[in-house]
Amino acid sequence: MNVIQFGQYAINNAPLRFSLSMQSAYVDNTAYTYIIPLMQNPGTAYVTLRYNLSLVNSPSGSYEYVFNMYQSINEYYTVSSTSSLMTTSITNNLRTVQSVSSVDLSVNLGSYSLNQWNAAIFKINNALPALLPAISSPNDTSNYNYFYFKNINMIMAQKKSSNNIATIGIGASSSVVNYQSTFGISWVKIFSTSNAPLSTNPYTLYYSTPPTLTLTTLTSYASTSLNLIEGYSSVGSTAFYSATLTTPIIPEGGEIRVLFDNTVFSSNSNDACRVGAGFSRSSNDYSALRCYRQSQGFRIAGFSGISASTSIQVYFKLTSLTAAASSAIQADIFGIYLDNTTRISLANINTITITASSVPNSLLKFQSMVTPYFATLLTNYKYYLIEGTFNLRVTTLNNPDYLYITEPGWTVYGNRRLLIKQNSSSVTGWTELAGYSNTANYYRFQIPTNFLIQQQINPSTQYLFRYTTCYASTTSTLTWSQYNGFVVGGPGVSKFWLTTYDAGAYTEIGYFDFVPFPEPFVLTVNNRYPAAGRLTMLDLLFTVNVNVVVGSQIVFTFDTNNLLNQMFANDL
Amino acid sequence: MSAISNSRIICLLYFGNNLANPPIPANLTIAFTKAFSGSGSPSNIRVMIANVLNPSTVNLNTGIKANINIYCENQQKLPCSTYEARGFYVTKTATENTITTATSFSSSNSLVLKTGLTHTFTLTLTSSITTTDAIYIVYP
Repeated sequence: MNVIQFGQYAINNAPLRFSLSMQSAYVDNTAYTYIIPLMQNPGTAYVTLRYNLSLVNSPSGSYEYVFNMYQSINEYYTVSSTSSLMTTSITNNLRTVQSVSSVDLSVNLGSYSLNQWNAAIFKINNALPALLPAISSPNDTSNYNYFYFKNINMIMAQKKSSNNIATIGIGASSSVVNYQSTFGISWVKIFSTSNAPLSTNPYTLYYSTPPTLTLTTLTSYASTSLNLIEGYSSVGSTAFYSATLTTPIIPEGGEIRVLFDNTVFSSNSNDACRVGAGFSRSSNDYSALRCYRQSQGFRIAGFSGISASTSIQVYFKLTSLTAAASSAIQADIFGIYLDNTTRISLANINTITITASSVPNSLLKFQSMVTPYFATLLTNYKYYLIEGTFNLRVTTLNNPDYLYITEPGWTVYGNRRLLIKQNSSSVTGWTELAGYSNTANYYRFQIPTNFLIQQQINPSTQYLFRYTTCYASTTSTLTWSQYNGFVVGGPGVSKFWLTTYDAGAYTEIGYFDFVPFPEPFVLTVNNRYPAAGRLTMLDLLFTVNVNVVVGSQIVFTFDTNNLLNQMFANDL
Repeated sequence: MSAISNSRIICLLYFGNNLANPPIPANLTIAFTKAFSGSGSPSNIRVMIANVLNPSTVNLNTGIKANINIYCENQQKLPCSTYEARGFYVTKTATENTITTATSFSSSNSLVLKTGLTHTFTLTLTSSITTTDAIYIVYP
């Protein structure tokens, strides 16, 4: 145990005192060396120094007593500094974030080589957080004797060889923070000294402050994949992707960005993406797990810390803007949300090649469905008519071509019907396509000969379609099986595909998401202070008569299209 | 502690952009961090949003749409809008009485970290307030 008493010499000549207690037993006629670092000489030249060394015995159950003492008076004196500035640097080959005992360090003295028994001391800067403040083992013991002061993180290297060598190896350390950060050596000082007692005071030859270094980021992920779930990667198409990657350590409060080239892609995910496996919400009260759009990709935040080698998954939709070969989708990971200086890794997940739209198998643009509420005839079942739009790229459909609908096997009462109408104010009537045939949820409708006045479905023209059912017979008392419509069991996403069949070949396809309309409920709005231009409190009240699971949301949308910014001029 | 959370309510606010075409509405999302049981005994959820600046136009109707989005799709964890309601509020001309008697504020202690204090703020009203009225105290 070491105790330092910082005496004020100006007050009763109180000395600076170092006490080493609870030491192991000392053996007589054995040399012991005490190294006290970082002592500062008086600022005046030719001041003598005086010190005492006392050995104190503290026998158990008795008074302590001094049994040996040495007193040095005027043995050394100060001189004017003759030290000069030199240029040093830190030599380092491996300094990647999240590395263990592999950050190799040495001090580069330029062309200067220490004389034998001279010493260099240098202190790792504890204020820079990147490195673990511990040196496992100095690595040039053939040229230097090392003394490591672990509490203050300082190293003294005394040259023991006469070799001409301009570096001082330190050894390997580990990165501490899990993201990009700086480290360095506060200063380097080189002393003229000896391994034997000197008649003169050791003095400083050179001093220097080497530049700091920054941990480098990871440039690859252990495993990545980019899967096309729906759609095609052609110009104008919207495709649905899932990205999977094996992560490095991502601390809580970190951030993942999925990046794409915004000259090649735009997002069609309603300004949002979805997180899948590997994420859980941070327990921080202020955090919400979220994935949202940014200018060149998506940003995910609000997750709990992610350990190394965790597989995470993100879902998103991209619309292709132009043809491109191997356009990269990247994952850019940071240790602190919205702090660009804390990068952990930046590497490709995969690439996407966008084909030109003029290729024969070009596809429909991805369309979101309009889903009018059709009927609520029974408590437990709801019947839906599905309505949507499509534009063909290059295909012209006329009799006897087909439109195919692939749907996942909803319960249907009545026969399926597909009606089409050009989306134009001059076209008022709907045309029903002839019949259907079914092969494993794959329904075929033929273009009729008297279709839409023009007898065909033309490319680059928007058409409305309605997909519904019809029950042919009527009776005085209807039963369940005699109602019309698709039965969707409850809220949720359903999907179906619309495919064109032209002159014996499938030519274009569109993927549709289908979400039932929500149930209505009553919202009571009370503006507690309605004065225009004044601060108020909105009191919003509604009654919920269903169970709501954790992770669900209440969303208030202020959809009046003016004065929105003014409404939220104050931070909520 | 509330009907939808055991701790703090988590809110996400998107300001929207009325200069965009079409304008992007402002959007306030509140997460359920605990399950809400309403099927057996329907109960109220009340949300109070303070410090909202009323539009400066008098008699302007401001629409609010409320959705309850329930996670409905496992692969993407899509929140589906399952319940929806609409409401609005109207701005009116400010008819404010100016307080003519000087207000006073007396702090029992001004140390930053001191707790358990009682401060006294005194104001003299020029008109009555009723049980349904409110006094707003704003800590800027």
